[in-house]
Amino acid sequence: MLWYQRATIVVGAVAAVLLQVFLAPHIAIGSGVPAFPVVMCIVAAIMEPRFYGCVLPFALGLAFDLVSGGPLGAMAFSLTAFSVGAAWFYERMANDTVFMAVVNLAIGLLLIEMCYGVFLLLFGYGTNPFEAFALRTLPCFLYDLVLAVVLYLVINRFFRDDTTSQPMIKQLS
Amino acid sequence: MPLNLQQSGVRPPRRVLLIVLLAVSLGLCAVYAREGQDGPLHAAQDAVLGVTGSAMRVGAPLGAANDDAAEAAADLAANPSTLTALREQNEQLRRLLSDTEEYRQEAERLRELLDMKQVSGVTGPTARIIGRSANAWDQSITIDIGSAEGVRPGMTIMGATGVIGQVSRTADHTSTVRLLTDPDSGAAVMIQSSRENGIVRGSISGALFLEDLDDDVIPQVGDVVVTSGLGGSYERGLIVGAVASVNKTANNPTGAIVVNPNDHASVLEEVIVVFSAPDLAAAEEAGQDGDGGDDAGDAVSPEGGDAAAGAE
Repeated sequence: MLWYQRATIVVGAVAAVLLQVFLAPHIAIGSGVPAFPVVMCIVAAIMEPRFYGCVLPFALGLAFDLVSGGPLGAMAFSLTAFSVGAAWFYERMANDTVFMAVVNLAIGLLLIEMCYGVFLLLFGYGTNPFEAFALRTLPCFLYDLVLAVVLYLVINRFFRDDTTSQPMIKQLS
Repeated sequence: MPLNLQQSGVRPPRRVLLIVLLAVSLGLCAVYAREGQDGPLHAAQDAVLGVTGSAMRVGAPLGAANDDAAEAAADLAANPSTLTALREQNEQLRRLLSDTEEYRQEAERLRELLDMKQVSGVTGPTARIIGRSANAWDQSITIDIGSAEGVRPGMTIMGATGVIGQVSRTADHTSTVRLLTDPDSGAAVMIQSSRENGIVRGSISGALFLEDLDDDVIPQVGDVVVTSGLGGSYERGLIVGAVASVNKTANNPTGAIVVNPNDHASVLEEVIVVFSAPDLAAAEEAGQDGDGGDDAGDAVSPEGGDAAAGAE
């Protein structure tokens, strides 16, 4: 991965955390509050699955836990486990269609939100799993999915650098 | 639909790092759950929330200014060809009028809070809401005063007409308030008319439920619910809301009792941090007993209130 790509990811990560603190609470729709670090990670995982590591989701998940007041480590675990999983899965299933990317985004986001919800329930959140899923996980998942799909399409359309997306294959050829 | 199945899996060094980071995450969770509110992880989180709270404090007026600027820019962009000095002047006047209306509404809200303080005898500073929770699971707000202004965790927070929550964390100049509607919230209350004690709990749907009443107590719709002060978590005698619906019957003692809160944090911009409140509930009880009822409504010291709560 080139230095400017790393720089872009760092800037994007900082922006995601800032957006989470200052913007997310004000654009909530019902009980759905967007999670910008989650959206950023899952889109990065789908955009560059070969180069997607586990430090970025861990750091962003930890930052999310710190700024949101939730249990420390809960989002770090959820985001690391399932965004890396999404990247791993997409690396095998990618067929250059938007459909497959959206399916991966959706499955990854749903698993991340569900895993985070399970952590909160384990920490004694005062509700039952069905209500938690219907009133928190699902709205947040749908909100995140819309943002992730839009971000993916925008990046894919305007900012994708095809010269670096498959360097190994290009070198070999 | 051809699939890209030829590429390699997660490379070994990455796999080790992944396992290490997942283990660290779970370790952090375990430590966070086991340590108390004074533990190092909670302290680190409080420090970060303090910093973000301060940033919100600084950013609040900037945000308003940004809104004005964006609005002005949009107006200008909408009429680029017909922009004249008169139009500019008109825009300035409109902005002034808008600002004046904003100040008028703010003054109105502050006057309502002041009225509430005078009527109820509550003492404590007024604070501005500068932020809301960044997490869908947490119903809390951030206010612009903190420990430097005398705010302590556990203090009651009121809107213009009723209790809305309790201070959960404090930083130097900001505090986090857990709303009464949060599923993890609970306030000891009593039904004002019958003096029956219960607990108002929040829920994930945002509704308030009155629980832990005796089985034979069935409140009526419209009954006023006030804090009882039991357990010392909330100041005694402050109004929470009114009973909105009762599904509890003699045959169904576990039926839900929904309380409609007097104030909703979502529409508030300023709140009062209750440093002390006169024990109106105890005074009212004393009045009902017929000893010194006329003077009983006067404000009493917090110590007196605690003593009364303890006596109960």
